[in-house]
Amino acid sequence: MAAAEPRLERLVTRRPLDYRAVVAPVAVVGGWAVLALMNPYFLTVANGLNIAGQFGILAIVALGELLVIVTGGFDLSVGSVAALATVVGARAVNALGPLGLPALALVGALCGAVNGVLIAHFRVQPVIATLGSMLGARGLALLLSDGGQTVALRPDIDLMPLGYGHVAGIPGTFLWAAGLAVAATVFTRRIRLGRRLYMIGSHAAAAELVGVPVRSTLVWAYALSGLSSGLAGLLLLSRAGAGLPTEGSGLELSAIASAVIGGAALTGGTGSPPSVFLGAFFIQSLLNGLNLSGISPFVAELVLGSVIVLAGLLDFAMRRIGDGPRRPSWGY
Amino acid sequence: MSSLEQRAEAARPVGTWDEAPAALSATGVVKSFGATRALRGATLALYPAEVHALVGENGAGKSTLVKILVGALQPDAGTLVLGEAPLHLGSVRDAVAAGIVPVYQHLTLMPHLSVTENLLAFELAAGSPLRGRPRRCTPADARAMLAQVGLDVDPRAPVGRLSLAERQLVEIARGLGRDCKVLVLDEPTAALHRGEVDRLFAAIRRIRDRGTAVLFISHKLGEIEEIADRVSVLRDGQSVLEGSPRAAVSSRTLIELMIGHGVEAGRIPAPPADAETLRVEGLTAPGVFADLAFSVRRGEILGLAGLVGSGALEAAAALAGAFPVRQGSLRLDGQPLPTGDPVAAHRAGVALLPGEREAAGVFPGLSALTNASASTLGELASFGWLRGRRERERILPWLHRLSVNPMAPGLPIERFSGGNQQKVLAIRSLAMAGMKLLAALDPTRGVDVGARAVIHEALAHAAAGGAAVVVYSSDLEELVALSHRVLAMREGRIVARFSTPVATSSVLAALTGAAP
Amino acid sequence: MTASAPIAVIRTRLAAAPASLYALALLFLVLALVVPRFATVGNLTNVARVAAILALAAFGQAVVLVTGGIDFSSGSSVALTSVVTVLLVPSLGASEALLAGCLTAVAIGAVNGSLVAWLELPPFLVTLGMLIAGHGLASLLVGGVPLEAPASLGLSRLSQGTAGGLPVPIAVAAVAFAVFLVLLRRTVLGRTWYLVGSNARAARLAGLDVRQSLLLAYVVGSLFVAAAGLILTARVSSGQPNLYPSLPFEAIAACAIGGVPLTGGAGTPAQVLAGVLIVAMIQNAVVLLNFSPSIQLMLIGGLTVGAVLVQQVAWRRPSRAWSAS
Repeated sequence: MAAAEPRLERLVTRRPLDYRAVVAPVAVVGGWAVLALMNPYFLTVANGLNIAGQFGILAIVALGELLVIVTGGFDLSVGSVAALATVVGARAVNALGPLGLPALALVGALCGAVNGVLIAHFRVQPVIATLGSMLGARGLALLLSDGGQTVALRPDIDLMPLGYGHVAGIPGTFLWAAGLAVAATVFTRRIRLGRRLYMIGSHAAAAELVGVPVRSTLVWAYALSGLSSGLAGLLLLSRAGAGLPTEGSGLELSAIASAVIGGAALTGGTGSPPSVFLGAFFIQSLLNGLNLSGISPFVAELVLGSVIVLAGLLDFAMRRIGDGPRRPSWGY
Repeated sequence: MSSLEQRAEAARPVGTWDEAPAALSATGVVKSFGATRALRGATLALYPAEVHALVGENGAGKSTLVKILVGALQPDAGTLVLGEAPLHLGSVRDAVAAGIVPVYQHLTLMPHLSVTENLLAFELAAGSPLRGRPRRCTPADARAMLAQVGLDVDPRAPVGRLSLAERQLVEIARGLGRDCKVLVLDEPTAALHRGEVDRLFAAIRRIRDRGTAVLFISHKLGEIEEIADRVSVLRDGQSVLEGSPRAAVSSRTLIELMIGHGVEAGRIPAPPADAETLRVEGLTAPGVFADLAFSVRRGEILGLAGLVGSGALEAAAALAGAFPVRQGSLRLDGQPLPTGDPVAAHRAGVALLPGEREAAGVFPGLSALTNASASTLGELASFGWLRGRRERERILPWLHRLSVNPMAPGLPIERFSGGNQQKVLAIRSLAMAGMKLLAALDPTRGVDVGARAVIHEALAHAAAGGAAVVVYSSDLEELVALSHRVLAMREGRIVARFSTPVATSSVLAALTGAAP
Repeated sequence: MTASAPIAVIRTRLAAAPASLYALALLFLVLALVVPRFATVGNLTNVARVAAILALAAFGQAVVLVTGGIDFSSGSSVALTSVVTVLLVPSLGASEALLAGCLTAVAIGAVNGSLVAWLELPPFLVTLGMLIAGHGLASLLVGGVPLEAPASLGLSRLSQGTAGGLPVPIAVAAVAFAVFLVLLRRTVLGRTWYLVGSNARAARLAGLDVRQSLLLAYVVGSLFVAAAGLILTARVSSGQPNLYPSLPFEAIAACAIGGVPLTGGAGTPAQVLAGVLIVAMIQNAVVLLNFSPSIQLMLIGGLTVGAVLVQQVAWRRPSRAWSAS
């Protein structure tokens, strides 16, 4: 049926309000307000630097996770891959000196690429593929560390500056994470590969129909997520001075929560690195603040879990508001 | 050769066109999806600097052919030739690189991305992954592209926020914005109003005059008359008319070629003057159909006739709760029948025979028996306990009666041919005890001749058993032979009511608004 | 099928048995030959005990998988069951407390099911969130430290005792298997689950109440999980937030290895049972062979991915690729 009556042409200059972009800043400001009320020490410079130093690792992993979430998938293996990277890295550095450092990035990227191939070429669901590699990486880490022992670095190798260094009073890890966030922002906004991730997440079938090489792009996405896990592993190794095969469990869920607070929808297509950076900051602040106030860490866990479910609800609500009432997905 | 085909033969092109090389030609294209043969030898030749229209009813294979021409699908057989050289398209990227640009029927926009990025989607998809953004990505460039179709929106707005018409214009602008050898437009005017269509046609003519070959797919014959230089017709996956000059073929001929001959069903005896069972009043779904009012008696078969976009299919679906209704009422045997809820409709004794098998009908991975009994589970159980023997006793006779082949009720449904799958779907409704109303949507689409006859007989049997049957079919001959009465719909309204026997041409006239 | 010679009947029945049953038989043979002390009555009883818990969780998981969903929350469900039970024992007495624990698990299932059925949220999202939140809640309720139940209640007798000659856990699992079998094969509800998982849209158009059947899938699934929770609570006789955190992953692995497709619409009880036994035997063999736990992790992970791979290649029904939902 032809469109009913002729319409007037509309000069559409509206800037749509992006609800998602608002969540992260509000969360940080609101969260800090609440946490400061609970414990005045929270608001001190020393504590702020403390948070800044700790959250770098989470931020790096969350940025990698964002890339995958944007495509509509997610990566449960990041914590285990980071742990594996520290173990392999420790051994590599012990054997090759500083030349061994790239091993961490390589290990991460390789694990990520395996995920990507399983998901894109063999069409295994992201849940299963990344779950499998999570278990596999953890197992490998335990294996390579003689059953879970920390792998100490040689005494003559000192990576402490990398992990604890300061530049003009600002913790080094914070700067690393910030630098990566800048790189990620450029990547997602200006590089074709980055835009293709959003195209796939927004409407995968359409992306294919305009010629996006979906499968290889997805492999890139998971490889980059693995790479960021490897880089996080590098920082972990520097701070601990040893490979830690049992570290990082639970990191993936914090990373997903950070991304979600940063405005990424788990259905894909949205999410920006600066917001995710803020989201990671929020999560870390929460953990820090609750710890300071002596509140059980399990509350934080409860909050994390609820955040993930709430994310789905929030997504649902925003879609409802945006599109108006819709038919159930099982209709004609 | 029938008179129809004689006329088609007379309209074949002669002379100049055969001498210039085609910009893009497809010969003998065959494509199957599992049990469904979408294309069975389609042929198309597009020449530079002309608008070539392709018409055909739903399921004729138009969209499949488009996807093959632009590299989104690979044909099972057939050849593509670009200019002089054979063409092999492995993906849409290859096609776009070769100068073939698609504007798809079902919009391929990315809702989260801005208008500008969607306009440049082909560029973003092509090239090395590490390249930066394409060159023409300023808002000014975007506005220039949009101006071609007369759309004025903020290029930075996410596409998901635009109205359907605006999105369609963005999709079109994306296609027009590239220099190309072949531009493929699949139903570009579905959501547009007159003013926008005029602007679009002006843009198309400009592009044509620059030398591009334009493939224009539409079911709106009025528009074809306006814009097309030549016309081809697809029916049931085959080319029944190849590139005749549009002036040489009347709309009447086109429609007759599109919907073709159905199978002569047996004469249905006139229904007894039984009680009215279904009453429809004021049924309205904005933008689809409006103010429908009719009634159906027990034992009667009512045919809803209408071309794509007339709302006839949607109206038939709405009777079974499968299409949402904004206003109006349905009454079944005096009781109000809930709209928009297939579960409630089913409980009230309404059955649906869906037209799109794969999407809406078949349960893949499950056996024919399970597929057939899906709507009768309640009847076949006592207190939630499903009685296997009762299930077989109820369904097996139907499988025999409809000659389902192979007679293997435990076989997974995918192993059956399209026609046999459709028979199983029919049994799902027919096996319902106490069925008061059966809505059949294109029940014989993509089904071979033998299966068609069987399904027709089954529908007649259902009516004879006391149910009211409403059938929508895009095959007019079939509809007229099958029904006791026919309602013709155009642009969402009932424009004529006929009692059979009636000449197909009279119904056709009503469908197109032409004089009989 | 017409009547045929007995041999032909046996042959068709053998051919119809799931591939995982053959894998199970093969694995058993290999392990019996290679691993010392594997094929003893004592050891096999141990395997059966472990398998019983996993089986209960796997039955619940399979019910949800058939509808095309997934359930990660069983790890926290069993933890909450144990915590709630032990907390309420002083005020309610043993049997009422156990019931309350049971109801907790069912409540979780009901919440999962409601969110999936009515708000159409992706199951992995909802149940993953439940897993984490549930663990947090369980930890919170006992202050992070396992809470011992008074020994006088003899909860552990439930787990050590026998019923009908079989150790209680195995007896419970056997009964549960019978219920599971009947549910999937012989009830309208079970049949509806298959139809919904196969093509939810067609199911709705055929007049089936998709929402209700989805809700019931998660609730019924949680009943099986509740049973597992009760047995585990009895075994450790305490409320533990970290009772069995990997349970959902092992249950999913068992189903996948058994051959239940994660895309929904298919899967038989025999497949689930075979998968459970395979996983239990591997875990047992790893312990007997003194392999490090890392090998076990890798094996299970690798097998799961491998099983899904095989499914995708052989099943020929393309899953909804790439996306999480």
